[in-house]
Amino acid sequence: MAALTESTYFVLAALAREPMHGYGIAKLAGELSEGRVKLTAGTLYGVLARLVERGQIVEDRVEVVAGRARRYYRLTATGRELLTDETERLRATAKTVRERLDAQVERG
Amino acid sequence: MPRSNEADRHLLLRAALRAYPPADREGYGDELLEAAIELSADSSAGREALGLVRGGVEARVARLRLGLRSIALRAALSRLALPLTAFVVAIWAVAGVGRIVGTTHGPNHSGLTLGAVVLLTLVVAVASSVASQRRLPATIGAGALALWIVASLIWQSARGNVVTAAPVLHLNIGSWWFGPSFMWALIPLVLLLVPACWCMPPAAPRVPDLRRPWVEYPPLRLVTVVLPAAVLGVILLRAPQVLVEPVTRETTEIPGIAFLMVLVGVLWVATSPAFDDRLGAACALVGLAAVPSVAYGAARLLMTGLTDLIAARDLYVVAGVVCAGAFIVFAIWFFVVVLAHIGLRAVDRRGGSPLAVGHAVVVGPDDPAQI
Repeated sequence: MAALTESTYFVLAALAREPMHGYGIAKLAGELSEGRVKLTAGTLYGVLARLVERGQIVEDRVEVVAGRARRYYRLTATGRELLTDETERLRATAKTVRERLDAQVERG
Repeated sequence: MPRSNEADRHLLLRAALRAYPPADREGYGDELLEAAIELSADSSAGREALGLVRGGVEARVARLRLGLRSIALRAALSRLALPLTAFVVAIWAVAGVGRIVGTTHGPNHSGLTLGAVVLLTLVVAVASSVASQRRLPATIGAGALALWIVASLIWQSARGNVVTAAPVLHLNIGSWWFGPSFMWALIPLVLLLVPACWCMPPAAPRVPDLRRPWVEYPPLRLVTVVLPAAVLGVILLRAPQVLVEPVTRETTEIPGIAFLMVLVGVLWVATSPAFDDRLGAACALVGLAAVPSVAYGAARLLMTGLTDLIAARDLYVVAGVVCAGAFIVFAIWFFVVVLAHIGLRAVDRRGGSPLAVGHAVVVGPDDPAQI
């Protein structure tokens, strides 16, 4: 499978712990990425629609807060597996690059 | 934040939301707008508005792609192939009738133009092949289209020893319809028929009580038997029509009549509701009928092309011959290997017998001066 985009990765990461609604996902994705990922509502809902279509997240519930409906999303087992695999891939990649950097420092 | 600014922000975002398809707006538009409003408080309304527009465009594209995927392209092609085939064949018939009665004889007669029909057929064939993910016919179609255009531009100019582009889209109905140039027009038809054959639903295993057109329909047997006999008679009697020489008014148009018989047979098979698989039967009939004519046209093209090549040694002639030669290889391979195989197999799997028809009749007299 192709590597996830950064936006998709952090949307999945935002949902790793508990179901969240759109605004919450966007905020948490920004925090987790230390400000690198700044999702607009348009981008966010595009990502959410694709993840729902692929069965990687599902709608969890709808809550009405101050007269406004908020749809919550949660990870499916497939989505969690995808997030885990991607995290492992990133970890392995980072490890490889780290080793090369360290080797360069030792030679230098 | 001042109330007026907030109202402007809402107005802007609500307007941007209209980029989404109506169905999406009804489905989750309110939720999307709320999220955009909340997020715009942290960033800017303009950025959120742009995000909504971009998301809306993407949603529309996604819906369009989904809609295109859901169209039953194969079924549409199957339905389109038959009327298109009938249309092209009908134009042949008009030309054949005109040739027999002598009203379209001569190069200066301006009547129906075939070029647009041919190109339309080619485009439909290639598009349908691509749509049904048939790479082979799509590739062949694209190659044939390119060769056809190049050969038309160069070859016909070279034939007239005129270094100007020949009119690709204007092919008058005349006696040369039965010559090599006309034979080129068969290629697009086949390009349509082959994917049509392939697009037919999978055939079921043969069953004993399956209807067999060959057994059940005497007119089909009659056409299939009489036609080769007529052709054989013409060849054995060395009728002028099968010789490479100018046409005379006194010529008996036996090949033309026989050709019309083929057309009648094809149309009858294609339009008769009695056949379980009209398209497959018509494809096989047309395909088989075209094989000898293409072979004849190929021989004529090569011979006249080589003659011109030797005489003129002109770059345009060389290029024309090369293109024509490549086209001939395409045509023969396509007709013989692909169409006959697929068409006959399609018919046979449905219980019909191979509709073997001779087709030297198609190659009527061809006056090189009229090409």
